[in-house]
Amino acid sequence: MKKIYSVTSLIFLIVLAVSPLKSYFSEWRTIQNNYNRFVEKLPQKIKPIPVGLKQIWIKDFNRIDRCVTCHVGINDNRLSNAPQPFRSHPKIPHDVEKFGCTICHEGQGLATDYEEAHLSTEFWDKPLLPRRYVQSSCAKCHPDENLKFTSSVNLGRELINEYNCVACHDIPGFRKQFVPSLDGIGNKAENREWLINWLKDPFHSQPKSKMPQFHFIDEEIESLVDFLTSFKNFPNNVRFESLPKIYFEKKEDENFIQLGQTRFREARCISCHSVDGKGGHLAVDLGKIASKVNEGWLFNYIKYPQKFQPKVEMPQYGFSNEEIAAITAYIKSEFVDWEIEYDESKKDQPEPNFFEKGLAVFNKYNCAGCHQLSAKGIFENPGPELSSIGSKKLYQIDWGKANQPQDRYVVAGIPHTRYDFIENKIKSPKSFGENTRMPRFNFSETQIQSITSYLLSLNEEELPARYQRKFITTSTDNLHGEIGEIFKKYTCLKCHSINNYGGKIAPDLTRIGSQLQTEWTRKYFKVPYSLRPIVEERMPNLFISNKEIELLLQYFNTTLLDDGLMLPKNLDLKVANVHRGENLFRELYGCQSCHIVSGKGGYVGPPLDNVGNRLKPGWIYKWLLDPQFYNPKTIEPRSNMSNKDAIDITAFLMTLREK
Amino acid sequence: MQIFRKIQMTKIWRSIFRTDLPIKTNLDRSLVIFNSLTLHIQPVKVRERAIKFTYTFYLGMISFFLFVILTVTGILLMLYYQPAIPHAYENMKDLQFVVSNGSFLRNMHRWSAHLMVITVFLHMLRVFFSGAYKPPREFNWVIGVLLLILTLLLGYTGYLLPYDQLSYWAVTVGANIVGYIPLIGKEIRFLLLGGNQIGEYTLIRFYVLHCVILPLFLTLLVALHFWRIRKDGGLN
Amino acid sequence: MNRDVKEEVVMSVNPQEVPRRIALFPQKTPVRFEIEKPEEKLVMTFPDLIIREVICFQVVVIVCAILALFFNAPLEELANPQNTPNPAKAPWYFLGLQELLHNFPPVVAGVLIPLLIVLALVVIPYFNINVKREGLWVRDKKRTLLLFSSATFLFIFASLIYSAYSIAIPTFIIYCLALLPLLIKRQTRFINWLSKRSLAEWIMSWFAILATVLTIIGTYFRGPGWSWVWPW
Repeated sequence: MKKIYSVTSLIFLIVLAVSPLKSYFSEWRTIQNNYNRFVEKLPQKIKPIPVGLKQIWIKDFNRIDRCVTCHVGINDNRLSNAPQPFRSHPKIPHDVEKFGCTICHEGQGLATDYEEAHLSTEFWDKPLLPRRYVQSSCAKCHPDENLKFTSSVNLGRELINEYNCVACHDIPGFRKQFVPSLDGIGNKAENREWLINWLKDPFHSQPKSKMPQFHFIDEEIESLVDFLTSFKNFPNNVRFESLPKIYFEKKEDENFIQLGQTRFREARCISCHSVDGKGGHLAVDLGKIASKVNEGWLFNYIKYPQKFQPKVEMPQYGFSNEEIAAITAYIKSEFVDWEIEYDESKKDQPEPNFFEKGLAVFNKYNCAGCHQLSAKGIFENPGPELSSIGSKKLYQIDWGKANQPQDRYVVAGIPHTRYDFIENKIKSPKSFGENTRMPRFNFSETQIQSITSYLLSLNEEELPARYQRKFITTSTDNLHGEIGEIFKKYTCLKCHSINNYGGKIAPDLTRIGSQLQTEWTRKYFKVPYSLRPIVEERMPNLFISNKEIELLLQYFNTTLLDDGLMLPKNLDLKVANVHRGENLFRELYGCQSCHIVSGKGGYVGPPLDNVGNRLKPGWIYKWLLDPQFYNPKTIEPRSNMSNKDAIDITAFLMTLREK
Repeated sequence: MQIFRKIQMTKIWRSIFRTDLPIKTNLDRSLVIFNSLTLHIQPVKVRERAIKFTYTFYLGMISFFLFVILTVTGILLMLYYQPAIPHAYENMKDLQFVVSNGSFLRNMHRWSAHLMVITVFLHMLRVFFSGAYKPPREFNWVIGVLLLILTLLLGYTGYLLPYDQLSYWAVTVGANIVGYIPLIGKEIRFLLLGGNQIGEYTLIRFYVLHCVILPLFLTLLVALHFWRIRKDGGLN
Repeated sequence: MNRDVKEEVVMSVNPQEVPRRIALFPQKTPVRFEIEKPEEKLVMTFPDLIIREVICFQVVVIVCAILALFFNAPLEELANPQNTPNPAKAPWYFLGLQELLHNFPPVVAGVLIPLLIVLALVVIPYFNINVKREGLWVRDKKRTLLLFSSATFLFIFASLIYSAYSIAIPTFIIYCLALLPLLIKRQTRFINWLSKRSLAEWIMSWFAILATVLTIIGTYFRGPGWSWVWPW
């Protein structure tokens, strides 16, 4: 009995000693000891730290982050090249002490061992965000700000807007984009075969098509095409204007086609459209357009784009009928898909109940989410709303039959994390089950990551109000009357903006009347040219009539003004020292490194040779003083120029005139 | 050895410990039992057959020791526990990651609790099959049954305290069973949960039950149980 | 246990060894008559029992500590009333009950059965039937068989109505075991041992085995929607 007693006593003591020893030799203690040994060897004198748990408590979020227990050097710039986990954090606008770690990086802040803290463990569904998605956390507090650090989120936002995700998914802050109406498609399409091919794989004829691939089965496509081609009436019951006789007489005449080609070039169609991938990316590719639409459509559409496609962003050019006919002939002769095969046999025998079947397919895939079609029985059939997809719980996600978890959270193939789900859902929607209606878009890897980044930022998580930054965008400035008509006709706001409303492609017009000289602007409308040779998008020649130009100029000079852009009264260009200005321009401020003057200079900024004819002095003066005030994104450096310098340089610039 | 002797002879030592060392005679051995608060519930002499392991498998004793472990670890765990949402859960994380030996304590508490349910049940079976419930021990058997129920209740109330998914739903299932009682089921459930759903009040209720009320009853009944063993003619 | 007075007399024939005591009792007396037990060898509590207790305590702590060192207590994510796990399981010691709930109406499984179990346990010592625990088949075999079988089959039938196979099958197996001594005439040790089991013991074993089986089924064999799954 005594022997047993002595043995059990011994084991008793040993067993009870294990746990304290375990905690003494814990991972984080070892790491801190390693840190102290590491900093001793460094040339810089960095104090060793007392061994002990460290944590950051962010009261507002009620979060405790113990990451700093191991990431000891997080705030010490001298450790920017140290090995992990001792490396300091790259410079960011936020103080680590005030924001902690997991607000941005996620992961389990409470944990003090590697796996629990970083990885997706069984009961912690917010593992450390991979580097490519950390940006999404910025956008949680800065939702609509286009922060310069968050290029990925910004791109994601643009893509979601551009690809019209809101057609099916409810995402706050987005408006539906223009998508061609399908009314009259039966009169528009050149042939059935093209539609079938298009529905099968839009990316074949338009690699950058915004229309996704729906993976229809052949039967669905047949009924859908039959259904669609039965719609022959255009919106608002407009009718085709018959093509002028000259078209039929001369459509194969070389000179006629040549005229069309010239006008096509002059109008800079490829500023927006691409042809076989070359050219602008604002509008559809025209490479195979002649196989898609018939000549009647081409002629009428170029003549009155918005009549046949309400709200389309294509401007209405001031061409004559003959010119349009020539362009049509040119397009018909050039932009043909030579590979397409015509199967005439099927064309005239649609199934008896094609309409119901086609309608069912149309509704099933929520075509009405994007396209307008005036038919009875059409309804919107949206997909899941995404307003809080970033905080969707893992158990709410349908991982699909093929991905039944072996272990609760780990699957063959796709790891069970939020970002992997979104990423894969966009990349190949069918990977979570064949039944999904979600179509496939032709996104690049970067685009997918950007969209995922943005979606991850859509978070339900409650953030303290004072951490939130709401970025207010000034809403629509609706233009009315004659000017409104002109703006609409030429779709100016597709590229330009007024009071933050409109496109971001071309310069803002909010204060254009205070910026540009009238005479120059008038000439510019007649023959637009690109000020910056390196910019891809160019102002097209819209063939605006003289009357309209005068109206626009009047509007510019009366409404689009900024009183702050007047020269101060006490300063006068007449008394300014032009020579001093020239010296400052060339020597002190080195403006020519970016701007061209008399054939010399850089290509970054616009050439300034004719600037004296182009810009108003008040604008130049104010711009020089603080470029970012008017355009926060401009790269022109703010040089804290004195008023005297600015007025002198302005005076110098005003002398630069081409005769 | 000499020093130890001297210490033993001091007034202070003698005022504390009545028994003289070394223990030589049977009288001394008896006095060890008599003079000790904790030991004197046992008889001075026991039947040799009764203290064999195979006679009782020590199941009652093991249950009691498990209860002792549970009390000790439980009190230590109370130092780190707030019965509030979501602090309760965060406290579990703290125990796991920050408190020295925290997870050891928690593991120990949990496994001992499970073991105790098993040993108490086995103890009951043992008593039944060896016929130890027969007169005059009938009432002690009844106390034993009550002790089994208290053990189960202690386990059940303790189950909620970490306030994780496991506890929440386990307790929900249990509470729903209570709700099936005809007529007053809903009321009892409401009383138990402090509401219609598990929440902060449930947590407080279960905490108080688990840490104060049930252990108190259990201790009293254990004392009674032991006393009855002695009085009904236990080991001697 | 089964000694009768005669043997007692034999044990104490020598008056020098065990003096004979004579006592007179009135008709009504609170004193119980107890058969005098033979003298057993007594040992001192200290140290013989105490050392066993200490060792026992140490072993218990060692076992718990080793369990605690190697197995972590489960901790899932923060409770979320919106996320019902499938299946939601009670603590393991109530899983037998939950298993019953799956088969029987809630009032029966959740209230009646537990109540009956507790009541049955409480009243056990107050039933004087067969305190001596005769083997089940010692007396009138035919009558016993009839009653025992009809009770068992009634019960099995009742559980089959609710398709509670997890109850019916173990019950039937125990029934067969109880019948074994009747069917097999060969006197092996096992059969002998079985034939000596009393009715009370059979019922208690049945209860214990059923509770264990149900608990094990509830713990390891029940998946989403309380459907049958294999744990491997």
